[in-house]
Amino acid sequence: MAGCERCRIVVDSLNKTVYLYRATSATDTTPEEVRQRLFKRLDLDDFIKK
Amino acid sequence: MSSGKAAQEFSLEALKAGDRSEFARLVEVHYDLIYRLALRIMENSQDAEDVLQETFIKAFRYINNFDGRSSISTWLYRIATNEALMILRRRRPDTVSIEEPVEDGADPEPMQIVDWCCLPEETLMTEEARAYLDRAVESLSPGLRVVFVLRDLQGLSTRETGEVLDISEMAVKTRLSRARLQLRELLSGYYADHMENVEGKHKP
Repeated sequence: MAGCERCRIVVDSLNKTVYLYRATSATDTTPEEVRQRLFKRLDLDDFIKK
Repeated sequence: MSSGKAAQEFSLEALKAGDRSEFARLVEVHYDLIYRLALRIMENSQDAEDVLQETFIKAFRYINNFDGRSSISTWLYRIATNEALMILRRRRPDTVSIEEPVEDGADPEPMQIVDWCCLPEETLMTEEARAYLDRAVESLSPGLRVVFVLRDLQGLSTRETGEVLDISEMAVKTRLSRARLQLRELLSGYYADHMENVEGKHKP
């Protein structure tokens, strides 16, 4: 890859692509109301705590 | 599954005996992973919630069929992925198939050669950019999207991803490579415009 500027750009931008997705995905969380509705749907209301 | 919370052990005996407390623990440990998986595969939060609920309803119903050959997390991922793909297939029967022959042929040649890596973080991660990232993932075919989500976003290994989707490790690697390359192309096109803006600002 040494001396191939085009290859370096592709590899760097490929790594950055994965990094950006991981970084944005890490901030996703399940809303609390979704969790509560899930427990109710499963008849596990008595285990809802937090 | 290697991530901390999901790596916890569960009593299969208790789950199979219908122990609600153990099942609640199973749900508590996995619901966030399953919801985030579903959110990335589906295109909206309502569908993701439907997938989440159906996954645990089916897990509860079919726990006696779980043979323990894979981890229980992998089994839940498999149910969730199948559920998500089934919903997508119902809507677009001609385009959604995990069996699509993406392994044929060579990877596409990169077209966008733009060095956008060193753009400032605030340019790379704007609200607009995040929305574009989401749209780019949605534009992948379901067969590529699920592999990308399981491997790169959920952190499953190649072997685990193959187990969830019932495809070979080689197929996982090929699809992951294709998915990343397609996303790179799309993001390069998007950020190229922003590079011109950033560079333009610095011109005298």
